[in-house]
Amino acid sequence: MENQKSSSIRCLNLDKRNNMLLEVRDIVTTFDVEGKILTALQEVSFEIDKGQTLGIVGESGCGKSVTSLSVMGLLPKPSGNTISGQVLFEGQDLLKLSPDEMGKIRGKRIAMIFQEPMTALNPVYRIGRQIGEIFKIHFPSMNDQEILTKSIDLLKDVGIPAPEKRISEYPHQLSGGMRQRVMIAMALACEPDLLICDEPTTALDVTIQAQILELIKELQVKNNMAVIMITHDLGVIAEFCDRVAVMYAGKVVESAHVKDLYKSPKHPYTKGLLSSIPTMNHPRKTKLDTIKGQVPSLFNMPPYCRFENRCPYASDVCRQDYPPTEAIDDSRSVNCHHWKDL
Amino acid sequence: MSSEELISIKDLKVHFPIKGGIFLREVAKVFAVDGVSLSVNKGETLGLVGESGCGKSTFGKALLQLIKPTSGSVTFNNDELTDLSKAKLRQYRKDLQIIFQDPSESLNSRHTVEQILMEPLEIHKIGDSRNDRKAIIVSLLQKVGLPADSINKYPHEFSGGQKQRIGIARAIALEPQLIVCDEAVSALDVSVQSQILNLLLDLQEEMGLAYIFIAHDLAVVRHISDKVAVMYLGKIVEFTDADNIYAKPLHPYTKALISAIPEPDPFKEKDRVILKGDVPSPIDPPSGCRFHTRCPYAQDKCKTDEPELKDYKNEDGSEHMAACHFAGEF
Repeated sequence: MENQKSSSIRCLNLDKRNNMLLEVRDIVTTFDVEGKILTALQEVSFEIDKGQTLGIVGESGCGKSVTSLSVMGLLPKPSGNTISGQVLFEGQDLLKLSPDEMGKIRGKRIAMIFQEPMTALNPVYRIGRQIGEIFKIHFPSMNDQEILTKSIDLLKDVGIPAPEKRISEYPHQLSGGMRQRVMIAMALACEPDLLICDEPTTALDVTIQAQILELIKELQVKNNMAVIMITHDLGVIAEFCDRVAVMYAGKVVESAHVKDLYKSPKHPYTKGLLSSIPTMNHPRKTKLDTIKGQVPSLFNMPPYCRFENRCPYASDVCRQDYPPTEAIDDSRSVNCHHWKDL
Repeated sequence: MSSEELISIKDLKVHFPIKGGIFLREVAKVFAVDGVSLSVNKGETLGLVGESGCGKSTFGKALLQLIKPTSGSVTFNNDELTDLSKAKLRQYRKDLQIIFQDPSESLNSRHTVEQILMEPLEIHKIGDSRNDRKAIIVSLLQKVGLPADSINKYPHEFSGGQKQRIGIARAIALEPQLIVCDEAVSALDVSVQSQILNLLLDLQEEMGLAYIFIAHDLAVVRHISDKVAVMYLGKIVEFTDADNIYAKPLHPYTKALISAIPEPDPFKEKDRVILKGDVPSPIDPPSGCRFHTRCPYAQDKCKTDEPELKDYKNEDGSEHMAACHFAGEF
């Protein structure tokens, strides 16, 4: 039933196919923790067109980062494995590629920025060497002088003052915002078609966050790059993304255009999230709405709707099976038995 | 809400020495907090915002005397705290409490919840017997919304939000008058964050608590605060009530901070001020107005003359302090 529904969505979208860059289909990722198999992602699907921005939003532990690591083939081995599903990048299934073949795509066609620029950069190498490494791997014909000029250009592009000087510095000599700029410069070195940003501004101050988001947007337009923005901040999603997928406990529960989602959330979890953040228009010192309770543990995930224990709309049907993906229109889908009641 | 002054801080300075050379002489100073005057009334919440490194947390700790201030005065209920001995200060610890940002690091992982909450009660000799104290602990847990069977559990058995509830229980155990919340909700997920904010508001109403709420999330600060102070490089640059600071910011830094918050509303068109560069180092703060290096409106005067914190008055006549030569003119 679930498959039929989603394949009918796919038919509707066939004409848009040519424009599709990445399609993630029903991936299941598991971790082997001390002999127990934990399913971190349970049939996660989403898609992104060329040049588009997709937001993936959810709370800690919902599988946002595991999703990006699964797409990049960077899951910690041997414990993490994507056991089924497809990651189609321009029609080619990345999960079937050999490590060598994947290495040619990773960094060159798909690049990634991580949350903690301090831990993502190597503290014992100078900035220049870390950027240069990418050219050495993907363009072995470049000589050292070319690499140096290209690296300085990149640093200039991401707005680092005095790049000639900065290039011979170590990561600890840069501020958090500057480090994140270096990460972006490295990610953009090969002009990728897809940039995955995993909480790129969470560790930064709001003023620096605004700078970094502006920079990513600017470079996105310049390079006609698609961006997947993974964050827990609904504000960042609203300002930055075209489409959004909401994740909860290893599942995508709702996916829609940003404006549709904020105007009328169809999943009770999305609705709860949106009303629990204090906004500038909310009356001060009044009670905020909350989502009661907690996310069920991965060790003990119910076989039915995973939001059932926290959901104000929950009924018997929610305790029977996991709600199928229902298409509301051709750009919107939701997994909830009660979405019409919201 | 009473308008009785609870704590008053005058010209508080905290300078950290940087030592170097073979004799470890002082070679420079970090001007972490550099002349801050603020006051908080009973039962009121003061929000303190600013970027990381602006001295918010140092200020919070210095007013509790957890860090010895370099100079300035802290008057609590008409008593001067800065020159009290450790033993005398201990009595005041009852009234002044703190909740930290990271609940997993601020709770002893080898102690059960009972031990964590028992310690302050024992030190301050509250309750006559162990059973008495245990009863107090059970009622504390109930107050912060934790099940009674949590009493024998260890911190790692709780989620982030629950751990923060334990931290709050510990802070209210001695029925304080003022709690410094140092980024108390920053590490939490949004759905849990709203639970904790609601809890803090409930406790304030019930116990008449005053909060100094330190955070970098301006929307959260607006929600919980009565008054808001904006800090930049160790100084207060603007201070007024929570409605006016967001509606009519006078200082360009406040304006930029507010405009930088990403709002969860895709329909809103925003006119964004993006600040250039990073916060300068507090070791060698810029001359004149400390914000002039990043200010889009800076003039020559700003580079040389330091603006005073002056009262520009809100429309209703209430206090609106700002430290800018051109406050409200842009």
